[in-house]
Amino acid sequence: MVPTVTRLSSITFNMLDGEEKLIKNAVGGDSSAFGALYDHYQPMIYRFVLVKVGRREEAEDLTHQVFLSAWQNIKRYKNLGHPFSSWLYQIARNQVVDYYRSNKKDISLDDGDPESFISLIATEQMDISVKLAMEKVYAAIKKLSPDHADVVMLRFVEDVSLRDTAKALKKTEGAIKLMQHRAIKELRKMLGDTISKI
Amino acid sequence: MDLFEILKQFKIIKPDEAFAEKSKRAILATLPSENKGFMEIFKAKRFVFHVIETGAALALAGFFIVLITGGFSGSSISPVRFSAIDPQALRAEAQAVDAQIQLASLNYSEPALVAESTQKLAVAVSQKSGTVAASTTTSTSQSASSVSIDQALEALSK
Repeated sequence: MVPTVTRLSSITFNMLDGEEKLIKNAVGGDSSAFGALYDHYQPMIYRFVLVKVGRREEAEDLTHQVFLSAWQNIKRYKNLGHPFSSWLYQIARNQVVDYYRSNKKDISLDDGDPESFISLIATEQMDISVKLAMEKVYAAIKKLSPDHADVVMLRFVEDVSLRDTAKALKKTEGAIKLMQHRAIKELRKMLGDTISKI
Repeated sequence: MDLFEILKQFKIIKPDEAFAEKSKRAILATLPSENKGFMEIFKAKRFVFHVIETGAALALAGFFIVLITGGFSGSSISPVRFSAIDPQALRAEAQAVDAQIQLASLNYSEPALVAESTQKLAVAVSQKSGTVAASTTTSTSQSASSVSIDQALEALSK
């Protein structure tokens, strides 16, 4: 049975235990508290950035910049009931936009090479059919609009709730629902029946 | 394999551990910017700006009040100079207008006024002297018009 898009809306993002206290300490200048937040959120920010830029070196640099910026501006962070990750995703999006703006003469949005991308994530235990499928899905995500790609990454890779995705992308929940519906429809159209055969 | 299952597989993507550790150490070696100090500077700047803004508003209001009340009309630094409110020109113009009015009055109203006053005086003289008969009242009025001012005054003095 094919799962519907709305089925995932009830899944909430798994926050770090004692996150509120860690954030409070980090805002107070406690570097070890921010270190704990870094350890928890760095992989998902890295994934988010890597899918967008498609190159490991750039993804590492941008991820570093995201957390450096977060730490530098931690005193400006205000807890308004949204998770810390929403704030980090906002910084990450801005960093990626700046990256493409400053390098637009050298890099196009289609520069991500699926083969090199999959070589980054491949593990020995991974089935070859899964590798191929991921390669095709990655290539299809790269063809989506940046907003649609962000929604796919947050909602279906990171399991971020509808509310928090809306907050991170500065859109309404209704807009996110519509975007995820269109993004999945586009992905299915691009992939055709190649995925279901795997 | 379903699309959503493949998307979940993307979670295996993880950064290099050596990079993660190095990056973390580099970040935590820096100090977060002092937001409080920035706010204090911002507040001070806002206060100075507020003072300048208020002063400028008051100066502008004063300028307009002086302008409206005509404070600059006689001054050489008047921002707007109207030739119509030049005192000397106005005075000359007013004198010329008065003279014209007086001349016009003399030309058109003097004969009528003299005739009217002469008639009144003649009637008064005839009533006082009692020399004119009642039957000849109508002719008196006609003849009174021919009585001169000197005659009327003489009659009155008598």
